[in-house]
Amino acid sequence: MPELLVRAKYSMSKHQTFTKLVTSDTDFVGMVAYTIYKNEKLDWIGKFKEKNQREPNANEIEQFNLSTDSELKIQHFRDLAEDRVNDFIDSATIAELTEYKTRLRDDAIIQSTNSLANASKKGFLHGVSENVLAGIIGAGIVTLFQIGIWLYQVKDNPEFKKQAAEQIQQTAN
Amino acid sequence: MKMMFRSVSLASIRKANQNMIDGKKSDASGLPVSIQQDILNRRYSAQEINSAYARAVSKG
Repeated sequence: MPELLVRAKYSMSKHQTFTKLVTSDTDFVGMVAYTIYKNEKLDWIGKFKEKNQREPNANEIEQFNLSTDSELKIQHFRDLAEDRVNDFIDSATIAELTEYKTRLRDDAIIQSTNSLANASKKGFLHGVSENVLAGIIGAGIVTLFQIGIWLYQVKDNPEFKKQAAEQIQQTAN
Repeated sequence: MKMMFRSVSLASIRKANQNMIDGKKSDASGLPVSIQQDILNRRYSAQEINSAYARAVSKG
Protein backbone atom coordinates (compact mmCIF):
# COMPACT_ATOMS: atom_id res chain seq x y z
CA MET A 1 0.00 0.00 0.00
CA PRO A 2 1.37 3.45 -0.83
CA GLU A 3 2.93 5.24 2.13
CA LEU A 4 0.59 8.19 1.76
CA LEU A 5 -2.45 5.96 2.19
CA VAL A 6 -0.93 4.23 5.21
CA ARG A 7 -0.24 7.58 6.87
CA ALA A 8 -3.71 8.85 6.01
CA LYS A 9 -5.29 5.74 7.46
CA TYR A 10 -3.19 6.09 10.61
CA SER A 11 -4.00 9.77 11.08
CA MET A 12 -7.70 9.13 10.52
CA SER A 13 -7.83 6.24 12.93
CA LYS A 14 -10.19 8.12 15.27
CA HIS A 15 -12.93 8.09 12.69
CA GLN A 16 -13.73 5.86 9.76
CA THR A 17 -14.19 8.39 6.97
CA PHE A 18 -11.07 7.38 5.08
CA THR A 19 -11.72 3.66 5.24
CA LYS A 20 -15.35 4.24 4.30
CA LEU A 21 -14.40 6.37 1.30
CA VAL A 22 -11.33 4.47 0.10
CA THR A 23 -12.20 0.80 0.03
CA SER A 24 -8.98 -0.49 -1.58
CA ASP A 25 -5.58 0.57 -2.93
CA THR A 26 -7.06 0.79 -6.41
CA ASP A 27 -10.20 2.70 -5.39
CA PHE A 28 -9.36 5.81 -7.38
CA VAL A 29 -12.85 7.27 -7.10
CA GLY A 30 -12.63 6.79 -3.32
CA MET A 31 -9.32 8.66 -3.22
CA VAL A 32 -10.84 11.58 -5.12
CA ALA A 33 -13.89 11.40 -2.82
CA TYR A 34 -11.61 11.60 0.20
CA THR A 35 -9.93 14.68 -1.28
CA ILE A 36 -13.34 16.30 -1.72
CA TYR A 37 -14.23 15.37 1.87
CA LYS A 38 -10.91 16.78 3.12
CA ASN A 39 -11.45 19.98 1.18
CA GLU A 40 -14.91 20.30 2.72
CA LYS A 41 -13.43 19.72 6.17
CA LEU A 42 -10.75 22.40 5.70
CA ASP A 43 -13.41 24.74 4.41
CA TRP A 44 -15.54 24.04 7.50
CA ILE A 45 -12.56 24.69 9.82
CA GLY A 46 -11.83 27.95 8.01
CA LYS A 47 -15.42 29.12 8.39
CA PHE A 48 -15.45 28.02 12.03
CA LYS A 49 -12.31 30.07 12.77
CA GLU A 50 -13.76 33.06 10.97
CA LYS A 51 -16.97 32.88 12.94
CA ASN A 52 -15.57 31.99 16.39
CA GLN A 53 -12.11 33.58 16.19
CA ARG A 54 -10.52 30.35 17.42
CA GLU A 55 -9.56 26.84 16.30
CA PRO A 56 -12.25 24.17 16.70
CA ASN A 57 -11.55 21.77 19.56
CA ALA A 58 -11.48 17.97 19.29
CA ASN A 59 -15.17 17.62 20.21
CA GLU A 60 -16.24 20.13 17.57
CA ILE A 61 -14.16 18.41 14.90
CA GLU A 62 -15.66 15.12 16.00
CA GLN A 63 -19.13 16.61 15.45
CA PHE A 64 -18.10 17.51 11.92
CA ASN A 65 -16.73 14.01 11.39
CA LEU A 66 -19.98 12.46 12.57
CA SER A 67 -21.96 14.63 10.17
CA THR A 68 -19.79 13.58 7.23
CA ASP A 69 -19.41 9.95 8.24
CA SER A 70 -22.96 8.88 7.41
CA GLU A 71 -23.64 6.45 4.57
CA LEU A 72 -25.60 9.13 2.75
CA LYS A 73 -22.74 11.62 2.98
CA ILE A 74 -20.16 8.99 1.98
CA GLN A 75 -22.23 8.15 -1.10
CA HIS A 76 -22.57 11.86 -1.84
CA PHE A 77 -18.76 12.27 -1.80
CA ARG A 78 -18.32 9.22 -4.02
CA ASP A 79 -20.94 10.44 -6.52
CA LEU A 80 -19.29 13.85 -6.58
CA ALA A 81 -15.89 12.20 -7.15
CA GLU A 82 -17.29 10.07 -9.98
CA ASP A 83 -18.65 13.23 -11.64
CA ARG A 84 -15.32 15.04 -11.22
CA VAL A 85 -13.36 12.13 -12.71
CA ASN A 86 -15.78 11.97 -15.64
CA ASP A 87 -15.40 15.73 -16.14
CA PHE A 88 -11.64 15.24 -16.17
CA ILE A 89 -11.88 12.36 -18.67
CA ASP A 90 -14.14 14.48 -20.92
CA SER A 91 -11.75 17.40 -20.73
CA ALA A 92 -8.69 15.24 -21.48
CA THR A 93 -10.47 13.46 -24.35
CA ILE A 94 -11.60 16.76 -25.91
CA ALA A 95 -8.09 18.22 -25.56
CA GLU A 96 -6.54 15.12 -27.12
CA LEU A 97 -9.02 14.91 -30.02
CA THR A 98 -8.70 18.64 -30.74
CA GLU A 99 -4.91 18.25 -30.79
CA TYR A 100 -5.27 15.14 -32.98
CA LYS A 101 -7.49 17.05 -35.41
CA THR A 102 -4.93 19.87 -35.57
CA ARG A 103 -2.16 17.36 -36.29
CA LEU A 104 -4.24 15.77 -39.08
CA ARG A 105 -4.96 19.23 -40.55
CA ASP A 106 -1.26 20.17 -40.43
CA ASP A 107 -0.40 16.83 -42.01
CA ALA A 108 -2.88 17.49 -44.84
CA ILE A 109 -1.47 21.01 -45.38
CA ILE A 110 2.08 19.66 -45.57
CA GLN A 111 1.01 16.96 -48.05
CA SER A 112 -0.79 19.53 -50.22
CA THR A 113 2.22 21.84 -50.15
CA ASN A 114 4.54 18.98 -51.12
CA SER A 115 2.20 17.98 -53.97
CA LEU A 116 2.15 21.56 -55.28
CA ALA A 117 5.94 21.79 -55.02
CA ASN A 118 6.34 18.50 -56.95
CA ALA A 119 3.87 19.64 -59.62
CA SER A 120 5.76 22.92 -60.01
CA LYS A 121 9.10 21.09 -60.29
CA LYS A 122 7.70 18.71 -62.95
CA GLY A 123 6.29 21.67 -64.93
CA PHE A 124 9.66 23.39 -65.03
CA LEU A 125 11.49 20.31 -66.35
CA HIS A 126 8.73 19.72 -68.86
CA GLY A 127 9.08 23.32 -70.12
CA VAL A 128 12.85 23.01 -70.45
CA SER A 129 12.60 19.77 -72.46
CA GLU A 130 9.96 21.34 -74.77
CA ASN A 131 12.20 24.33 -75.42
CA VAL A 132 15.25 22.13 -76.14
CA LEU A 133 13.22 20.02 -78.62
CA ALA A 134 11.87 23.14 -80.34
CA GLY A 135 15.44 24.47 -80.63
CA ILE A 136 16.67 21.22 -82.24
CA ILE A 137 13.76 21.19 -84.75
CA GLY A 138 14.32 24.87 -85.57
CA ALA A 139 18.04 24.32 -86.12
CA GLY A 140 17.27 21.33 -88.42
CA ILE A 141 14.84 23.41 -90.54
CA VAL A 142 17.39 26.24 -90.91
CA THR A 143 20.13 23.76 -91.88
CA LEU A 144 17.91 22.08 -94.53
CA PHE A 145 16.95 25.50 -95.89
CA GLN A 146 20.62 26.51 -96.19
CA ILE A 147 21.53 23.23 -97.95
CA GLY A 148 18.67 23.82 -100.43
CA ILE A 149 19.91 27.33 -101.19
CA TRP A 150 23.46 26.07 -101.63
CA LEU A 151 22.35 23.27 -104.01
CA TYR A 152 20.25 25.78 -105.98
CA GLN A 153 23.28 28.07 -106.30
CA VAL A 154 25.72 25.38 -107.47
CA LYS A 155 23.47 23.35 -109.81
CA ASP A 156 24.26 25.56 -112.87
CA ASN A 157 27.98 25.92 -112.04
CA PRO A 158 30.01 24.15 -114.88
CA GLU A 159 32.89 23.36 -112.54
CA PHE A 160 30.51 21.70 -110.12
CA LYS A 161 28.82 19.77 -112.99
CA LYS A 162 32.23 18.56 -114.21
CA GLN A 163 33.31 17.48 -110.72
CA ALA A 164 30.00 15.75 -110.19
CA ALA A 165 30.20 13.90 -113.51
CA GLU A 166 33.75 12.78 -112.71
CA GLN A 167 32.70 11.59 -109.28
CA ILE A 168 29.78 9.63 -110.74
CA GLN A 169 32.02 8.09 -113.39
CA GLN A 170 34.61 7.14 -110.77
CA THR A 171 31.99 5.54 -108.63
CA ALA A 172 30.55 3.63 -111.58
CA ASN A 173 33.99 2.24 -112.49
CA MET B 1 3.77 11.85 -41.56
CA LYS B 2 0.25 10.78 -40.59
CA MET B 3 -0.19 10.48 -36.85
CA MET B 4 -2.33 7.77 -35.26
CA PHE B 5 -4.55 8.23 -32.21
CA ARG B 6 -3.51 5.71 -29.59
CA SER B 7 -3.80 7.20 -26.11
CA VAL B 8 -4.20 10.47 -24.29
CA SER B 9 -0.93 12.39 -24.18
CA LEU B 10 0.54 14.00 -21.08
CA ALA B 11 0.01 17.43 -22.67
CA SER B 12 -3.73 16.80 -22.96
CA ILE B 13 -3.87 15.54 -19.37
CA ARG B 14 -2.09 18.68 -18.18
CA LYS B 15 -4.47 20.85 -20.19
CA ALA B 16 -7.47 19.01 -18.73
CA ASN B 17 -6.02 19.38 -15.23
CA GLN B 18 -5.55 23.12 -15.74
CA ASN B 19 -9.14 23.39 -16.98
CA MET B 20 -10.31 21.60 -13.83
CA ILE B 21 -8.24 23.96 -11.63
CA ASP B 22 -9.60 27.01 -13.47
CA GLY B 23 -13.13 25.59 -13.36
CA LYS B 24 -13.39 25.87 -17.14
CA LYS B 25 -15.15 23.53 -19.53
CA SER B 26 -13.12 22.26 -22.47
CA ASP B 27 -13.97 23.82 -25.80
CA ALA B 28 -15.24 20.98 -27.96
CA SER B 29 -16.68 23.25 -30.66
CA GLY B 30 -13.87 22.31 -33.04
CA LEU B 31 -14.96 18.67 -33.01
CA PRO B 32 -17.81 17.15 -35.04
CA VAL B 33 -21.16 17.34 -33.22
CA SER B 34 -21.56 13.56 -33.15
CA ILE B 35 -18.19 13.19 -31.39
CA GLN B 36 -19.08 15.97 -28.92
CA GLN B 37 -22.27 14.09 -28.07
CA ASP B 38 -20.43 10.76 -27.79
CA ILE B 39 -18.00 12.29 -25.31
CA LEU B 40 -20.63 14.06 -23.22
CA ASN B 41 -23.03 11.10 -23.18
CA ARG B 42 -20.38 8.59 -22.18
CA ARG B 43 -20.21 8.36 -18.39
CA TYR B 44 -17.76 5.99 -16.72
CA SER B 45 -18.87 4.19 -13.60
CA ALA B 46 -16.73 4.10 -10.48
CA GLN B 47 -15.99 0.45 -11.24
CA GLU B 48 -14.75 1.28 -14.76
CA ILE B 49 -12.59 4.13 -13.44
CA ASN B 50 -11.13 1.99 -10.67
CA SER B 51 -10.43 -0.89 -13.07
CA ALA B 52 -8.62 1.49 -15.43
CA TYR B 53 -6.63 2.86 -12.50
CA ALA B 54 -5.75 -0.66 -11.34
CA ARG B 55 -4.54 -1.56 -14.86
CA ALA B 56 -2.43 1.62 -15.01
CA VAL B 57 -0.92 0.93 -11.58
CA SER B 58 -0.15 -2.71 -12.42
CA LYS B 59 1.65 -1.62 -15.64
CA GLY B 60 3.95 0.45 -13.45
